Amino acid sequence: MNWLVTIYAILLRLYPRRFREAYGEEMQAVYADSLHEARRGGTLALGAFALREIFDLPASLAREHVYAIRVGKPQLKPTLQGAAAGGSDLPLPSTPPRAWEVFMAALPHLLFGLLMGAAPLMQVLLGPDAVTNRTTNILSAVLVIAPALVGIPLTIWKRQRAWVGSWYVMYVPLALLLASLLSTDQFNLDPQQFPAAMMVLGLAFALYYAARANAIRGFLAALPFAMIVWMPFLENTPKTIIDPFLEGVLLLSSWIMLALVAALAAQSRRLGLSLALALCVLALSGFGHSYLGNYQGGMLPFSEPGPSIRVVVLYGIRTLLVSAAMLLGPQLARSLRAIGQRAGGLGRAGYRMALLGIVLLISAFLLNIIDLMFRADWNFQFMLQPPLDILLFAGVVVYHIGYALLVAGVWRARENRFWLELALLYGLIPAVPAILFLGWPTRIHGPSLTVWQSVPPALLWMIVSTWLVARFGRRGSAHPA
Amino acid sequence: MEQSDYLPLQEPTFFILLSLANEPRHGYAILKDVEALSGGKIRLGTGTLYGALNRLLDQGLIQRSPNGVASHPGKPRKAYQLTQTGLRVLQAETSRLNHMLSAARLRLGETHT
Repeated sequence: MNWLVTIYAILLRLYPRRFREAYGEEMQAVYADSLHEARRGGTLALGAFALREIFDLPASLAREHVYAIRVGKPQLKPTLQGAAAGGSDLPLPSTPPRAWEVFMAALPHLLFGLLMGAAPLMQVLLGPDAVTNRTTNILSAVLVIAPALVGIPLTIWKRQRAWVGSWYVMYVPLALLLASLLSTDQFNLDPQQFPAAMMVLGLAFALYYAARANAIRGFLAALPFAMIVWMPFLENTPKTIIDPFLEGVLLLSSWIMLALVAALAAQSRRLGLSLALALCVLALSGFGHSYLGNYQGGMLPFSEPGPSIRVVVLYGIRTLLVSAAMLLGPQLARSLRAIGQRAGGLGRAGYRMALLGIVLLISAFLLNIIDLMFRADWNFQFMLQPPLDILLFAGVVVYHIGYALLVAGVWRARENRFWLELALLYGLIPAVPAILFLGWPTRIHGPSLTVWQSVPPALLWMIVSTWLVARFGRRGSAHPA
Repeated sequence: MEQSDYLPLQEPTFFILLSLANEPRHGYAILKDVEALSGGKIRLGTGTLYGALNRLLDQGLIQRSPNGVASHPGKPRKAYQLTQTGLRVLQAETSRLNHMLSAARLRLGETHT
């Protein structure tokens, strides 16, 4: 009957980590004792015991997961606590989030949802002439500008709390408004333009900075941007929408789901669960839009609506990877830093060099975009090609040297329990800029790879990255919301 | 938190606290004692028992025994014991139940006489 105890030990892994680590061994021992006694009592006693445990396990699992989310206890594993607590970050108090803070984490997503979903719904409810430029301006002022003006000072005041991450997206409309006031020309945010590319680079640093001291804050900061990146990739352009009601409902529901994920992340402070849910919500939103034909065709190689959900998923998942990279990239960099901090002076120098290598790689990718943009009009490729090559080469070399130093630091610190994570980070982190800037593998539906060749690596990348940042990102769960 | 904030206790919780009232016990001993105290009516599953212990620890009604282990044939086990707050809550719940029982007895006695 030892195999029953073994199975029970495996099933114990389904409990939340903190609970499992606190009681797993004891539970296994109690189960073994109870089983032993039941066996002595005969078949009937054994059957009663088996039934009791079979019904008890799922109920207890559900209760403990709900409790872990509700209480939002730190999920730190002692052996990794030191790694995750590395660096010069201040030891922040681990006070649980208040209800208003959880609401504030969700609010920007709700406001964006209302802003995007309100116009098409108003068209349906009040007639096609109801939505004018003036109406749109009023909606923007009421739903974004006014809350941003009130909320942003609060986020500066409470900047150490995780919920403020959700409000970083509110800086964007304010910046755009300021730019449009300062500029006489119409402010045009074309993703193909160099300033926009520079904004993406700035955003990448901002998201990393937000995640560095508090993983949940970084996650909440990246969440709306991941959605914003995901939707235009599907060319969800309201002007070409056939059914405004459907569009309104889809947009509104997508952002409401995102708001719920934000609230859950702020409340539970469980990074892995939040990342997985965010990816699910993005997938649900994007694939819904694609399948129902609520887009213009865009990057996907078929016109609206999607021929079948299977085809939409197969092609769309590569696009989803870009959003996943937006969410996971800063957290991966944070994981690298956590390992580096754990590995002494050599490790710290190593991770800094590795990050510098990544910055050089990002710069090279940006230059590549410029090169591609100007190649058609001007023969600039000969001018840009040498610095591009040099930057790419330098980025790769610096990253590898940094990584080698990091490995040496880890080796010296005898923290060889990080080998697997370190090996995975080695490949995953430099992939982030490539995914973000080139739309992995070659602008989403490049001719070089078939769907079947590219989708499994995309999925694997997302799963491994989520696992990795969940493993090293738990420090965020110990932080205030 | 006031003692009254914890009341009323759920039946398994009441019996778990009662089981720890006179001495520290480990998980399996609590399981058996609860079964005995409830006259065999409450047979806790392992997950339910430790879920309840987890909440009681979080609420500060019980604590790990300072001795760390309780004697048990074979391997030593971690043991739990009642805190002062836990004891007061248990007494308050017992008093509440007593009051209910007295009221019920009084009224039913009146009815029968």
